Amino acid sequence: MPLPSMLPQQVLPFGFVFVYAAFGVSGFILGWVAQRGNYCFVNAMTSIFTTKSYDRFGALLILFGISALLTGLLVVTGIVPAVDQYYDNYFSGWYVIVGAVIFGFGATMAGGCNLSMLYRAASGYVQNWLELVGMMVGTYIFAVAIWPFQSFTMADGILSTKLGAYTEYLPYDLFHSVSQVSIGVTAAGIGVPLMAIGIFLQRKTRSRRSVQSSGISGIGSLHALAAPASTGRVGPLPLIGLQGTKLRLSDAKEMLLLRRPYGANFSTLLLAGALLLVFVAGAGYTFNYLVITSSDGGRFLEYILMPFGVNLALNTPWYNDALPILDPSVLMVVMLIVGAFSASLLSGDFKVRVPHQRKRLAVGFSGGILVGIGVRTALGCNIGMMWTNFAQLGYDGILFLFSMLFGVWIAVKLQRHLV
Amino acid sequence: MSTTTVARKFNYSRLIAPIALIIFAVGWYEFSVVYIPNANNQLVANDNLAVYVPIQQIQGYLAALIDATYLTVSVGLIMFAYYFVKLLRFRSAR
Repeated sequence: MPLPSMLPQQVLPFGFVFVYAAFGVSGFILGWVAQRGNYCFVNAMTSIFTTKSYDRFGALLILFGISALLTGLLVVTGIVPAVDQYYDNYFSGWYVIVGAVIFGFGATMAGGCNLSMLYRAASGYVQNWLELVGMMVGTYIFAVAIWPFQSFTMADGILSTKLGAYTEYLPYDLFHSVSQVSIGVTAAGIGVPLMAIGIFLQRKTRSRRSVQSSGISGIGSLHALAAPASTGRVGPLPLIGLQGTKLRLSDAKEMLLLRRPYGANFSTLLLAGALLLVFVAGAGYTFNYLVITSSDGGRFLEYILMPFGVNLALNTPWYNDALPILDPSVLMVVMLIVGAFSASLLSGDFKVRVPHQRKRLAVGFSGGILVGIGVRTALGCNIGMMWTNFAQLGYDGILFLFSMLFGVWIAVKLQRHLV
Repeated sequence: MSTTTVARKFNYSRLIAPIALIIFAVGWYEFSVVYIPNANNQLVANDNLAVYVPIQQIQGYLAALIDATYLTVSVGLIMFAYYFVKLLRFRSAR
């Protein structure tokens, strides 16, 4: 049987300007929507362990499910070639699990995942500024202390796969084929259950909430060391089609005028749309790892040092063999910050917020270091590795999800002792 | 209501923030033009092609970035004007 192709094919042959522009637009949407929806993967997970609320976690599962389904649909219908879906699938191994646990722990302590760190930093949360700085430091620590060993295990296949690409592609793993049927079956097999579980969890939480009829915060009440949540509405809007009800015109107007935050499910749909945009635009340019934010934590340190005559890409491990000096995610992250900043400013939410408890700053910084180490060890963050990998029909995202949940659980337990 | 009270109610960070946005956008563009191609050339000079980026890609980045910068600066100016008018209204309300 011939091996699957490894020649990416462009869907929209408009050149690099178009690709970069698409990533920039997608980044702006991500920042804007995440800020308006207060979309945080870590808060979604902590709320499971603190308030037993599954609203936001359910929205995450719906996001993963809908991303897998829609990208699968684009491939099955022939709009995007299969090779563009699996071309950038990463290796898998011990590092995904270890890194995700460290990341989940660090992000919970610091008060934000890679997405919420960026939009909260842009909304004026000083704790998240320090988390970002800590992430840069953590990335450097990873580069010089961990990467040489990790790359050795990856090259030698020690508790690691060695090929990536289609060998990490579930349709190929399950059916030894990248035919449209195998991709369609796999996409449905991943997407439908995830969406069903997500909706079920949300309904369960809402019914429990209606019984209790008291305001339960989706953010963990014991989440005392984390950055406080923004004005995002907790839980799914009872207005979205997924919930079987309609978006009222007055609500839409309120959201358009930035008087009202977006609901979790509405945000989910918009985020999935942003992912699809880069999936199509980046196809064939080998940028189809879709949405990515964590690499740029490391890249920004590289950029900050350039004016001082230091080029990390010349002789620092990882920087000199694994991190291209530029890629579309740079523009995506920059525009994500611009989008989040614009949304927070126009909605009146922007304010430079220094935590009353000064120890939060230290916790934010040290948590950021762990985030930097964790995301690089895992070869990506909750966005670039977990969400994206669900859309790539890989299995690293599943490993990352459960490992991250474990890390979050440890951090919640620890916070209970600290508070 | 006294001027002091009115002035206290106006959040000046909303006026400063758009300026910060504009400076960030222009600064980022200038940085990208000056340092990224230079760092890329250094990689070629040192025979490190593992993280080198083809020149067409950098040109694409800069072309997309200039549009993004124009857009961001425009939005920043609009925000600044909006909050400046708000500030003037607050002050004239004394």
